[in-house]
Amino acid sequence: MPAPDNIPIQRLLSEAKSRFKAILASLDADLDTDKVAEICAGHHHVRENPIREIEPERDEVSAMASAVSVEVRIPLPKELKRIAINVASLSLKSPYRAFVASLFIRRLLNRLNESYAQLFQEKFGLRELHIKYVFRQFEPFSEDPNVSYEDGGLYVEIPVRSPPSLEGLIIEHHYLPTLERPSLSINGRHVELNLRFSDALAFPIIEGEEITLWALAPVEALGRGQELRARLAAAFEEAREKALEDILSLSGVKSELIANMRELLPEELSEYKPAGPEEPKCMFCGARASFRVAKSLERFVDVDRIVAFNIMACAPCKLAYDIENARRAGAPLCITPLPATPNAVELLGEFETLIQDFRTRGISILTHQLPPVKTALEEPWARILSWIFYHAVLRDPDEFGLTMLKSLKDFDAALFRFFLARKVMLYPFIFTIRPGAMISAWTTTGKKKFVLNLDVASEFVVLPGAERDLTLEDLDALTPLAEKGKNSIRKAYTTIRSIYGLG
Amino acid sequence: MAMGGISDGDAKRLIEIIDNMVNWADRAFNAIRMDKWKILAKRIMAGSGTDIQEFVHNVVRDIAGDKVLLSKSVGDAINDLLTRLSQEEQLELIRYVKRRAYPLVVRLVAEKAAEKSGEEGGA
Repeated sequence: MPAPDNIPIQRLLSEAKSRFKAILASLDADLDTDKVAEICAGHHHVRENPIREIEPERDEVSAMASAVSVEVRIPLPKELKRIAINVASLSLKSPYRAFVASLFIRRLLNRLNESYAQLFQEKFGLRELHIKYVFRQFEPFSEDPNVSYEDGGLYVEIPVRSPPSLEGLIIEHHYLPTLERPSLSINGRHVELNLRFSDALAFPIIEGEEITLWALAPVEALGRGQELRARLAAAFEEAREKALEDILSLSGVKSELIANMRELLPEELSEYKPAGPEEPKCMFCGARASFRVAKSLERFVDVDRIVAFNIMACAPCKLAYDIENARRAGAPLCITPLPATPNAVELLGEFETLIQDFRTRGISILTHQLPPVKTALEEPWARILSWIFYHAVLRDPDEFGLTMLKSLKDFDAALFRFFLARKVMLYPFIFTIRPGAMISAWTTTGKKKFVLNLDVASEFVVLPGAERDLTLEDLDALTPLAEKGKNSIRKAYTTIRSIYGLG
Repeated sequence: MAMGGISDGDAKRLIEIIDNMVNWADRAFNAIRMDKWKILAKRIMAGSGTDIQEFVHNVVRDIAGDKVLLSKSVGDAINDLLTRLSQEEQLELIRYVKRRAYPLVVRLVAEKAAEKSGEEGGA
């Protein structure tokens, strides 16, 4: 919103409230628009709102300008607890444990989506949310969004005053309650992204040998925060139990194991307990083992990955071993996107001109210093970016989250250009990102049993290959191809697949 | 993209020289011709030499044995690199190419395909 620097904050908030009220007028029958407009206009100025810690009042901005940096890591768990709930912490002590963690997170995101959707429906009458950004040039300098509500669906169309190069760009975000996985379609300048609520509100973090899934929740000190947070916490607990059941109902799990697994898996997955002196050790991770995995050690060739030379395993390793065993002739790759990291940022060239244009008309606009601070609230979006990065080259996963590279028939040149260049516009900034993922893969050669290979969030290996892993360094060297025409791009894709030996 | 005095263009030219010197049409390569780019990338990555000439010689011999073609244009291309680049720059180019052998081969193949179809940039 344009805001001359010398207007007192109270007047600014009052003007903002009036404007929000006008925007929300069409919802008068369904909403206390006066209250909502007040919240929209003023929530960043409420002292208890943690956003205040990174968005100081205007008179503090200049002092802060020199302190911002592009790569601000998310806060420590203690601080994160104010704005998010720790839904699950899972041990990554062995490649098999990491594979089960991937399976679990995949299902948990679906169940968390149900939790959010239920809360939004019951408390706010919101079933679906549709946001449409329309980039165009318009006069005067700002135009109000169009807001409408129909049958539980909230539709917001936001005009974005764009420089000529972005004219006609339409970006739509659809947040849906029953979506199984995100999807993306690009049709010329029209981009549509279908997401679960949980995609935009939950994110995993890896710390050491543990992955934690956080789900954003209301701050207790704000309004009805306490009540809503307690409600969500209970729903997340239920979601976790359902996600575990979902895993046990996968077709790779033998029915005779399910009762034992149900008893042992939740605890063993979240907590790594090394076997005591007299207890059998898991051959893959060294935890207390309760399951037999093979008739003999003769099948195994990865001696360096065997922690204890027996044929026993803990619940998570046994589960992953059985799934892998049942599927090893098929799809060999499981990729769980993790939040991407921005590693470079520049201002869209034409935006400078736009700002100059404002200034010559005596209008100043509030905008972030360059570059903006990355906060925990951006982590889900950073994860979505990693998802898009992998979605550019991978088929939709099966029930185990296992996938393969796209065939040339399904190849999308625009998405592959993003894969090569990794440039993201957070208007008006252009970020280059480093995608992150937890990768599980195994080899399929011969009859010998290879233990699952894994590259946990190395932020280095992008895709494991039979011939050679495709690394970020390789991708940097491939980036100039993003500027090439369709034939080059297609040829590059097939050549990468063939010479790296990608699945 | 470039590092020090090294350009991607020189790096791709060096790979092209090696590719052109291997007589891929020879019957001895029938069984592996499909994998020629993979072989090229792998051998370049593993190649060695104290200057460009030695590097090219070692990699080509490693791939092709005596199934080698040396044309006037390839000779000119080698000469061009030898005259333009100092000993130090040649070593730098070798290191650059070895480190990026796989992606540079991909780019070479993709750009050749574009040339063949008369395509220009189109992002």
